[in-house]
Amino acid sequence: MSDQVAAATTSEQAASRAALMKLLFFAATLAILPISSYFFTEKYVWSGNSNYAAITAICAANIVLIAYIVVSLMEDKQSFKVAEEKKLSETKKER
Amino acid sequence: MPAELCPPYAPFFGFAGVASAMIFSTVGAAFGTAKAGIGIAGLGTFKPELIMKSLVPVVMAGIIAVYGLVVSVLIAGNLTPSKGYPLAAGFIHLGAGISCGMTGIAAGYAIGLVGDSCVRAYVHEQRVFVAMILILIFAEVLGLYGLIVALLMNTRVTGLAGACD
Repeated sequence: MSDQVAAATTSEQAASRAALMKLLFFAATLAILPISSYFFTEKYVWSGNSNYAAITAICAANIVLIAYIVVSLMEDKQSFKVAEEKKLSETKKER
Repeated sequence: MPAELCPPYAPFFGFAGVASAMIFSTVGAAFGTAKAGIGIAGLGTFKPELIMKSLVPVVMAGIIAVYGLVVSVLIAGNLTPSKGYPLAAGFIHLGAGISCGMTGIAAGYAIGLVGDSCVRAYVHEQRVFVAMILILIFAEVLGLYGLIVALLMNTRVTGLAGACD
């Protein structure tokens, strides 16, 4: 019984660490990607036209936002399946 | 004539535009983050597994600050105080900065209030999530409009290039 409890807490720890890593990744990407894409595309892609570079940076920021929404939706579906499997295994044990 | 068109205090307005774009959009983003964060803290005590999804208002408020940052960098890149800077260009840059910044305040305010109440409702009803995303997108687009106007105004400055010679 205590082994199962210990296993549950370590998997919970692993899940919370994975969530924290995901959040840190998205925070860093949102901070770094738009402004770096502005400077990079201004110099190499749009040959000095700063308005197009600004539009590129805005598109990059919105892509990060859409990626975050998609990742959070997929994680929700995964945790839903895990919760269902847990419930099934618990009802089997009770029998 | 060129001395009248390019007074020495003209860069004040240009740099004020750079500062106001960053300052005001950050005020909006801070309000949005704080207000939504209050709701997320309330949600976290009941259902911690929903926290990842409920952080979307915070990410959107962060994007408002990114809009302000991009406009600041854009305007600062076009400032030439050493090469002769027309007063008209200073006014244009000031208008661009203020338009991006103040719309950022509006968008951040809307994102904060909507994020707070929708995240609290998300505890009880899961289908609120899609409605929250839609409302937040409409609130975010307000900041995007300000950025588009700032970009449009900034393109007018290139026509003033030879005014100081």
